[in-house]
Amino acid sequence: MKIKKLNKLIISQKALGLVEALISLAVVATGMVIITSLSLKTLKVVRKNELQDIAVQIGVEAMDFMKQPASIRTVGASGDYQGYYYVNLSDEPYGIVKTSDLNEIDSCSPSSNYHVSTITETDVCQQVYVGEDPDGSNRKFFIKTIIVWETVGSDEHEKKVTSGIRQGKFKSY
Amino acid sequence: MNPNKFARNIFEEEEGFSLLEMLITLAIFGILMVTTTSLLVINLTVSRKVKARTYAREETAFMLNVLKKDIRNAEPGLTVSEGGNELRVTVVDPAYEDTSHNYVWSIDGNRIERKEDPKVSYNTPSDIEFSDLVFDSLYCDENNCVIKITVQAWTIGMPGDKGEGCDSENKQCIKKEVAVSTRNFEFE
Repeated sequence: MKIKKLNKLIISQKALGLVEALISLAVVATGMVIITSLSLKTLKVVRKNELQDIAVQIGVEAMDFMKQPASIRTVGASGDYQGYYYVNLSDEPYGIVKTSDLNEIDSCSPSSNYHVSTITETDVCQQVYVGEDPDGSNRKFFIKTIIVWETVGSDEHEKKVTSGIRQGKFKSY
Repeated sequence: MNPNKFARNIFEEEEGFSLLEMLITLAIFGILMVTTTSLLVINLTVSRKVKARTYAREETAFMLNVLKKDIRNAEPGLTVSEGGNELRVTVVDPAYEDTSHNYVWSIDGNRIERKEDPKVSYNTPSDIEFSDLVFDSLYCDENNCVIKITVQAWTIGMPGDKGEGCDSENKQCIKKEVAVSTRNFEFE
């Protein structure tokens, strides 16, 4: 009896039809779509991490520049150092240039004064804030560096703010 | 439907695939496989590119830190020629105050080196090609100097991509511009 059943299973059993095959394909396809979306998400995260890494580096370098032991040359400050600046290293007069902005930047474009680099279709902007001089000695300032990066063609942007204290002077150019 | 009859239908009475059915199934499966595989390949390539760029960036940052430290501890009289590819800097040894080191920073082939004649005291790794090391004096007065350092590095053996501020789109590259000051030579 057992052998008869086995024979029936091996020899007489028929395969699945198109409908069953399509159903199993749909299951496989769903799995693949999930894998693909995961893969795309991984790509996005890798890219995001790289940009965050670059932004942190730019922020650290800006903070390092702002904490330098030498006096920092300011352009357009005329003795009143409190305000928002961009760093100009490309043409005379070099130094940090005071702007009329009253707030931190929230977006970045290549035409912005704060624009420092374009990294694989992502614009990076750097803004520096010099806070008040509490004792009026021109020796100690609250400082901030603001890094904003924005991918071309996308409204999404990210921001990294680092705060610190500068023990040193500013000089007006 | 009688469950026994349904089971019999599936296991005993159904017929196998026809050639057309097999072809349709294979075609759909093939398209899915090609899409998934190409995505995985793209994922792998991007990961390799990012890894190479991160490595180049880290090595460049390390090199710049060593260089910055030398500039910050430089003795008075540091001179920088505009757009020069070499920087000569005298640094007092922190361990022995009466001893100083004369370092020459330059680019030799594809590697940046710090030389204290005749020995090389620091070298960038051989798996990154450095093509530019430029020093510019931004402003100098009697007390200190601010120097701009521009450095460009290429990763080796990686597929092309538009790099960070670099001219070529055929290679992976990073470009960095940093400004670093000497200490105040005369403390006020």
